[in-house]
Amino acid sequence: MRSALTGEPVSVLDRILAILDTVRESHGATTITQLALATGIPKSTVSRLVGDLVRRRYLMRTDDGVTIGLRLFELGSRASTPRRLTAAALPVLAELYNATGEHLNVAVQEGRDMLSVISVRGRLRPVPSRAGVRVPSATTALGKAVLAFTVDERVLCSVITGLDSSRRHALEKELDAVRTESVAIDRCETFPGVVGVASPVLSPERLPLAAISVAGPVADMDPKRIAPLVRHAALALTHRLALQVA
Amino acid sequence: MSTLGGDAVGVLDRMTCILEAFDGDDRGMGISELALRAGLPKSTVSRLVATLVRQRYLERDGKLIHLGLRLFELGQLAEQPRELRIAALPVMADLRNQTGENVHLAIRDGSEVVCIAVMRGRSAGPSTVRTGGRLPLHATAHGKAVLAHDSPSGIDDVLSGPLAPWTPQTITDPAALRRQLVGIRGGGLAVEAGEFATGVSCTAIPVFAPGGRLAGAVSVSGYQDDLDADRVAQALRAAALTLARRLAALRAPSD
Repeated sequence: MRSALTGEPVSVLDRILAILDTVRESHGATTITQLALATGIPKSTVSRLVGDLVRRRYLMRTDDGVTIGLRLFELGSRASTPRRLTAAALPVLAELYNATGEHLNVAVQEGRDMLSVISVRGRLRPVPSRAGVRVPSATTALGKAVLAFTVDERVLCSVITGLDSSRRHALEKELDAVRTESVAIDRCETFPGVVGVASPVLSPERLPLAAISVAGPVADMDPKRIAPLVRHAALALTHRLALQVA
Repeated sequence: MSTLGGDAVGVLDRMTCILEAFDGDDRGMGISELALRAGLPKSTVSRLVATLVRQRYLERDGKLIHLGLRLFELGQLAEQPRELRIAALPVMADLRNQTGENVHLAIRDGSEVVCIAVMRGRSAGPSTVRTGGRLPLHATAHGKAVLAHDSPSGIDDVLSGPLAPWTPQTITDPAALRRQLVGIRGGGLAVEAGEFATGVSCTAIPVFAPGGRLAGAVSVSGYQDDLDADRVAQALRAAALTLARRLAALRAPSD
């Protein structure tokens, strides 16, 4: 039990998950040396665990390191939340796409980020997000739509930490407005030239399940025109999810 | 050293048994059922599940456990399916619209193929596999399409192994399969007539990445009686060419 001294993960399962998490943080590709550095696990142990993970297809070797293996792709496509959201959201997204022609996302909260679960490409290029990609909660429309209804203090704290007091104040005021309007706007705060409009998808207890967003070029996408369309889509998705449960 | 190594394999195998206990139909399971399906003691399962829930590999919804968001996020990062999917999805949509049938995209993984994208046709029969599902090489059109382009020794390995009969139509005679593979390698389409699921037939074509590397196979499938073989063949050949061109464009420095 060396963890008290070095802070490295102790149990074998923790070590395995720490390695997988580091591969994720490296956007799916890294090296044994990087894995040892990032996790604090001795390189020889990393090497052996990676070998075990490769044999069981969680990871795959590349010319200069490792990448995500097909078993994770298979398991990931069976994950519950994305599957339910996708089944409920596809008709809603089709309608929203017909009405806007813009880049659409459905995302869920993951720590201090929003993780895109479904992404539809619009005219916006290059695309700032796609399924499986995270965007920050503090600045994106998706993030603010969900934060406004988040009751988990730890999540709120982790987002607010790192903002200076004037930005914190501005965000709190913005979240108040989101609670009454049910629409959050990102005016080029996250991606230059890109404006995003999002609305939350809530549970019957009014807890945030996800958010749905439209993103387009700031030059000719009017958030005021888009807001009611996004709000309508989020309500439609909320209803379809409630029906799915019943 | 050896005990630690043995332990790592043990833990990883137990984790795998737990994760693989969840099949494609997204039905949540309680700890007891999960332990039963994973073939592990309940106490072991509760302990591992607690860690896997904390790390979001699993999700708990009341008493029920589901596969979690972390697996989705990791899975989306898998390079090989991602690139091919990006290139293939618009081509698959065209193919679906032209034929009205189900369109599948699959890649080789060892002695099986993995389905990486599905588009359901308007008039189509049942889809026999979902995204992330695995298919046998010898009993499916996808499998035959990719196997035909393997090395001679790779083909021998598969043909000399067990060729399980999925339906009464599955070809289990190595010589008959080899004749089909030779035809496919010579430029033919891979065809399967009720060999994987009774009443469903499927036609597949291999897809090549720049440099001639086999990337995977794309297929059209539907009820055996309804499928218009000539139209499907023509549409598939055009789709494979477009897809190869799109893969080449993805690799090019700018497009």
